[in-house]
Amino acid sequence: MRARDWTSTPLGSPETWPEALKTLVAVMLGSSQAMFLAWGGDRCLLYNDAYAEILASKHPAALGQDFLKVWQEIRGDLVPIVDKAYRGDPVQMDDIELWVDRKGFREEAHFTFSYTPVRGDSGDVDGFFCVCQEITAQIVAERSLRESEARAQADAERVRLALDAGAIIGTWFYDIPADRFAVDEQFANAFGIDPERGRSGLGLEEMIATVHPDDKPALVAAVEEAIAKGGPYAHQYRVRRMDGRYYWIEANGRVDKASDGTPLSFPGVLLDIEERRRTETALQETSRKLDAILNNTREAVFLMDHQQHCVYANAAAEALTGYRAEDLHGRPLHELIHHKKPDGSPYPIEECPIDRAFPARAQMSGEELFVAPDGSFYPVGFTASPLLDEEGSPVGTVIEARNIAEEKARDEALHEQKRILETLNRTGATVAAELDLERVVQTVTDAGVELTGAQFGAFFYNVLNEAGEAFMLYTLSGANRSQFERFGTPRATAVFKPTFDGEGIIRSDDILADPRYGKSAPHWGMPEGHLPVRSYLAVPVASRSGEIIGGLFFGHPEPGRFNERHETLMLGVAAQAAIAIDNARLYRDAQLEIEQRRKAEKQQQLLINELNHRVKNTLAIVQGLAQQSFKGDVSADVARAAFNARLSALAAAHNLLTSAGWERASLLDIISSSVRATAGAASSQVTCGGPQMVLSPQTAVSLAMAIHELSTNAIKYGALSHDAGTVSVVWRVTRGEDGPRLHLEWIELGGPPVAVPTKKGFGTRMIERGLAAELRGEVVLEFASSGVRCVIDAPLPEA
Amino acid sequence: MRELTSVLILEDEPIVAFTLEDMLLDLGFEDVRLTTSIEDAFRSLEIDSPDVAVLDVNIRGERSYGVADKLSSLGVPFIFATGNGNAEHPEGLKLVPTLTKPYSPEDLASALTVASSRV
Repeated sequence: MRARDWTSTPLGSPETWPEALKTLVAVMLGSSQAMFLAWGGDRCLLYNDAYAEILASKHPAALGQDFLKVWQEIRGDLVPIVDKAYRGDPVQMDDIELWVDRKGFREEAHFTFSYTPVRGDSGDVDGFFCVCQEITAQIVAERSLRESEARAQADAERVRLALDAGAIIGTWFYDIPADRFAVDEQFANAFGIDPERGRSGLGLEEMIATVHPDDKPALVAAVEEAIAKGGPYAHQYRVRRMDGRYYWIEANGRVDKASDGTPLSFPGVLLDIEERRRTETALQETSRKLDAILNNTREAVFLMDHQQHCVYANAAAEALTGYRAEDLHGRPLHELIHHKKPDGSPYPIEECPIDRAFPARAQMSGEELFVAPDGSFYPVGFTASPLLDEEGSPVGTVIEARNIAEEKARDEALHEQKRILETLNRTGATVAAELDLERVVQTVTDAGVELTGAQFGAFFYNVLNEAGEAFMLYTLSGANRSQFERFGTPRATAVFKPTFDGEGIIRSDDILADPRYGKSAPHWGMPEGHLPVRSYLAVPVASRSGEIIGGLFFGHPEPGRFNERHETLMLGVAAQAAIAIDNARLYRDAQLEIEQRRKAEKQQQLLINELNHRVKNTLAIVQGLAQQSFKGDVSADVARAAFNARLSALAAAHNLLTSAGWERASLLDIISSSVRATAGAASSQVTCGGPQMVLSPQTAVSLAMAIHELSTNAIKYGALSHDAGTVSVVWRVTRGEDGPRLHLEWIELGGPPVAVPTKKGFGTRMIERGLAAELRGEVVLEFASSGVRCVIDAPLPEA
Repeated sequence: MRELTSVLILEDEPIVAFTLEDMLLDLGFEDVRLTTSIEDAFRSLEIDSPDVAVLDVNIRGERSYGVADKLSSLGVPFIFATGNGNAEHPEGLKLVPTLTKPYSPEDLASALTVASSRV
């Protein structure tokens, strides 16, 4: 201020200043209190160093400037009070807040100002003098006090609320140097302490008298440690309360120390944590149980968040997936263990039914294939349940899953067992009901292939043909006949022989490696083009009689396909087959016998019928012969003789026919036998001749009877009535218009002269009409005087 | 019976045929037409229908049912005579009176009476 060149200011050089001004400036500059002067009509500012601090960055430019211009920013506020001062009225202002930059940063400051008008030599007010007093510290202290009071009030309020709520049992204040505890009324009441004594103070021993004996040492140690270290303190222990029971409480306090480290006070509160501990214990218990369940269940449990990231996986889940829980945490489970299909193609999460539970808000369950860390697959049964919040929105998913490989294997084994049983039953039922040998062996072969899982099977078996010769037949299953036809039936090679000999089952995991294989000519093994056989199973089929019916053979192109169980199954099937085949054979034999018997019976019936027919016809003929013989006025003796002779002729013809099976007779035989039967010794006078030809039985009988009548007539009246006569019977075949004809002549010679008979008897009728009708030809009977002549002309008779 | 005068015989066995012929003559038939083959029988029927007929069933291994049918269509009553005791006639001829050989003149007379009374 002194260094300032004042000449350029309105005040001019200091020597020219009025006395009042000079005096005030001297006072001002000598004071450590902030002061300033505003002088003249244009309020020229003069101030000391202390005020310069208030001006902060405005200094030193403010020196000698218009006061209102310096405080441009608050000019509006200042103008009235400046005017007032210039009018001669002093102005007092308390607590003016200013933000001053005294230490390189702006800070809050509080001041009091008093403007005192200063009159110049003329007695007019020429300026005003201001004394500033900084009251910042005072203001801040007051404020801090106010805040502290408000806090204390809030704290008290909170403590009161806590006390009322019962969470705080009471408060204590431990005066450490005095070693006295002061407790509030609630505290005293809670532990049965006289409130008056509680206020005046208790010793430590008295304070911990009600603490559970087990907890005392730890409590004392904790208190000592807190006092030694200072600062906050918290300790839980049990105390006995008025009702005599122990309760869990928490003592919560703070050890305050003096600046030299001497512990001074230890205030604190006691909190009732019984409920909290109970809740915590219950929670812990629940949590423990849940953990026990989750970690002991064999069901894998995953908890997924809304992004389908795994947030929890239990021990079973680790075992199931082969991943540790921490490896699963925070990862999308699908991408880790369900990302591909068995064919190697990706499994998009959009297709995943487990994932669908979340958007669908529905429980999903089913079976899926999970991927193991090594990339292999394992089947799981799963249930995915959405977790819904109170509004029913899905927030996550709980997935339960278990490996069902064993279950599936068991199911499959059961299914397989069931299939085997069904096949056995079906086979048993079929072959038991089946009497057709072909169908029995086919059924058995098919069942064998089904039960052993063979690629193909065959049943070779022996049958006897009608001639009693053994034939080997076979049925095939799983292969075409054409694949075996060219090989013929198997021979008793080293491999096949034991089966056909009934020595037992032969099972080979690889028949090519069997010592018996490839030892027999001509193929030395399977013939070329044979279906490939590695696994081989052969079972003999033996009849009840011990006879080996045949053998069941099964093959598979891969080695090691048949096991002991297949042997057992096939033994059963072979036994069933044997019984069925025995039955079928018995049935067939019985059928054959029945058939033959039926045929024989039919034949017999036919014979009986035929015999009956012949007998009846013969009887009719005999009846006719009798009627013809005994007709008319002939004597009984003559009639009887004629009848007997006719019967003899008939019998002769019958004899001839019987010897030829009643099928045919030769013309020559019929004529000569009839002549012989009638003429006896005289038949030597009869000569017969002509080509060989045969006649049907009926024609033969008619001809025989006609010849008999001719012979009888010749014996009685003709050529055979004496020794010189002859009869010539000749025939030949001639050509007629409708085919060959028989021309036969009976010519008698050398007999007595013939007279034409006066009436026609049976003989004539038989010859002329009967024989003609029989032969469908013409028969002419001439009674020439030289001898009887009979000429037959007829179509050549059919045998 | 008195109004029946003509009769057709179909019988291939001559001796049996003669016997039957005689029986019918004895029964009073004036016109006995003997045929010994199926063709003869048809031929005879073409010329003239008899009042009644007696047919042997088995004619040289052939059945005479054709002739029987013809007789039926002509309205001529007829009977069968057969050596077959239990001959099974075809449908439509089952009710035809059938004599089993050998038969008596009385059997013949009553069979003819039954047959002719049906027409």
